[in-house]
Amino acid sequence: MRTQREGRRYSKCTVVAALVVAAVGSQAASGARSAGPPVCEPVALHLAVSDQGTSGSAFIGLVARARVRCTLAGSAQVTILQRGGRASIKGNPLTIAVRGVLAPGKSRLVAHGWWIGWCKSRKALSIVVRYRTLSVRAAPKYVPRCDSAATPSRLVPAR
Amino acid sequence: MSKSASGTGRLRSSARLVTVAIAAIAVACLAGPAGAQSPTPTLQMKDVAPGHSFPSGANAVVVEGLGSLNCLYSQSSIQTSTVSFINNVRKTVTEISPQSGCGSIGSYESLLNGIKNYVEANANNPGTYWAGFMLDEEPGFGFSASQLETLNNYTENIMVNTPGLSWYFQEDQPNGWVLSTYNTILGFSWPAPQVYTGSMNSAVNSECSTYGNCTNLVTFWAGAPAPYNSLSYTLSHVNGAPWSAASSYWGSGYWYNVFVAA
Repeated sequence: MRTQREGRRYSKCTVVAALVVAAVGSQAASGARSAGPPVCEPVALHLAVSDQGTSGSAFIGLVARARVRCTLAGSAQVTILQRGGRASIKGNPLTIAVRGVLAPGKSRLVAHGWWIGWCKSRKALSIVVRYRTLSVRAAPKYVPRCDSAATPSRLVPAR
Repeated sequence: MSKSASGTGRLRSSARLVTVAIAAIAVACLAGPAGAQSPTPTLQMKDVAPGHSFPSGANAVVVEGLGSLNCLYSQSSIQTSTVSFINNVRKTVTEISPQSGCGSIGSYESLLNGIKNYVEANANNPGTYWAGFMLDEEPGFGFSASQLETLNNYTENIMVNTPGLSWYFQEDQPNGWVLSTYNTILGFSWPAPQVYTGSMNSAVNSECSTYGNCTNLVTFWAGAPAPYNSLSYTLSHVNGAPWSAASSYWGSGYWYNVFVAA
């Protein structure tokens, strides 16, 4: 009788303990999910520059795509080059924050800045963007308008 | 002697300068800001990127779609954002900057038609809340004047049948072409010229005095070279009247547009 009671108590304790373990395990798993996808590894990442004009200024976007779901964080550096050297632009190079979760195979804008005003030669210009160990270089599709030769060209982060 | 004569000459010269200065001040004070937009616009529309929230301090929102097509932003993000604002009872405009680096004139026609169809099908009461498109057309964007005229004619044809207010603005670079070309490109649009420099300001005022196109939604930019980084300076140097929607749609106020490097 006593043994049976002890046995029932033992089995109740076992069930409770199992439930506690399961709950803790579930919470831990849930916690792991809320931490989000892993950081994107450069080897699995593709970067591209998307530049275009609006209102006389150049929008310079960094578009990323990854093979697996992953998180981008940190910062990228945008540099405008002319004939291989850094172009004379205030704020060049520009460091911009990079953030976003990438879905597998889908391109996404992850950072952008603006190049405003350019009154010098429009030849031999290129845009270089660096993120971690990756680097991408492109000829600008649009070079900003010259509204005022007295105002310095500038590279600024998005507001 | 020469010193005295020279002194007398300087005195006369100074007196003339003072007289001229007083006369100039008197003319300026009496005449007031003859070139100012009248009445002074007090309502502003402001840019946001697709997916972002309504801009603080604005009375209407301009969804800044950039070049779209092979550039940014996607048609779906532009039209979804436009409809979202309209369905939240926000006064809304959809901006596109057509440029040859992002697509052809034909593809821009398809883009505009697609966005128009989506908005008309999915927005609540678009005729009241959607003022239509804002096209930013500039010679530096790679299309010729005649190509832009083709696009604008197309836009007029698709928008003329939409109900209510919906039509289109042109947020153009007014000094980018000779005046007669600028006038032709404007077509029947609502002009929303960028007024960032004295040259742009002059072109807008010449369009008014030469062709009588004197109602402008002035596009202001706080990042423009001084003194056009001042809203009051800019509005006080543009002739004519500010844009105003028919009172049954956007009320009876007068508007200006703010470009934001968002």
